[in-house]
Amino acid sequence: MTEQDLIAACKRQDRRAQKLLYERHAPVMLGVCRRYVHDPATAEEVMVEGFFKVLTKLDLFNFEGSFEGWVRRIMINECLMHLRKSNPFKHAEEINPNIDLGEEPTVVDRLESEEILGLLDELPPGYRTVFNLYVVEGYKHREIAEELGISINTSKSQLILAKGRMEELVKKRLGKVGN
Amino acid sequence: MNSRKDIFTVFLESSKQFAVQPSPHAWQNLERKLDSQPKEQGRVVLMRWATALAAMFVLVVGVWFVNNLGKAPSFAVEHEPMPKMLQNLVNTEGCNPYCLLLKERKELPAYYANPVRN
Repeated sequence: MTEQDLIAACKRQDRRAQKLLYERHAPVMLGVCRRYVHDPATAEEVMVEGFFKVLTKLDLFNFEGSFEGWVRRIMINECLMHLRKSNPFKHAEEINPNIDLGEEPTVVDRLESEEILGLLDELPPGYRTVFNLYVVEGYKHREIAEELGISINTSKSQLILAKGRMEELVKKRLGKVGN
Repeated sequence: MNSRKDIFTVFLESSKQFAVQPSPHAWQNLERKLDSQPKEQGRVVLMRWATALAAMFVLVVGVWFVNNLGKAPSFAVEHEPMPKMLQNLVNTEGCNPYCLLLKERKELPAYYANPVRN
């Protein structure tokens, strides 16, 4: 079944099609939610809420751009909504945002799934959110500031701090010292 | 090693393949939410209709009120002089037509309680 057929069947409330669409996208989308939400059970709840919105608002998808991108966007919004409730930026640290981030090579070429989660789980929620939005989703600091209701400087500071902490963790956890 | 990448690149490339298998409960929870959806939708539709009807009622009452705001209330006839032509007309009941008209409209002022007899 092509994606278009599947979406059309889901719009008709075909439960089998809804399950198929869920099964196709759930692992990647839970991966997205897990990157933002520390607790696995909560991340799964957020994902379910996201899929509920996807399946009940399919009429809003106009086939411009990829369907997976549209679903991912809904999941990220759902995660951010969840994170806003706990206000992770209440005591956000600010540093000079003009520090050059540099292109310092890290000690690894690739991270495994468990390592990604292990590293992210060590970061405070504020660092983790900005890091994900900037590095993985490709948001600009202005967009991150708007989404999270913080200043652009806070966003930049959180990213610099996140990067520093991440590099430290990579060196420590993976126990490899590169040159 | 020059081929090494910075942490942003490593993380971005590694995250592309990042997937986590959800528990079977996740689909069951989603299905339960989807099953309750029509009821919720029905309730929302009902609420919308109720709101629309209430708004229409307020609008109709408002329009009526605005239209009737400038008009004199019916009891004002109490102070209107009786048309002279009618004053002299007497019907069989001994009440002139103006008096009968007020009687019919149940707006007969106190001083017309006893019909004028000529």
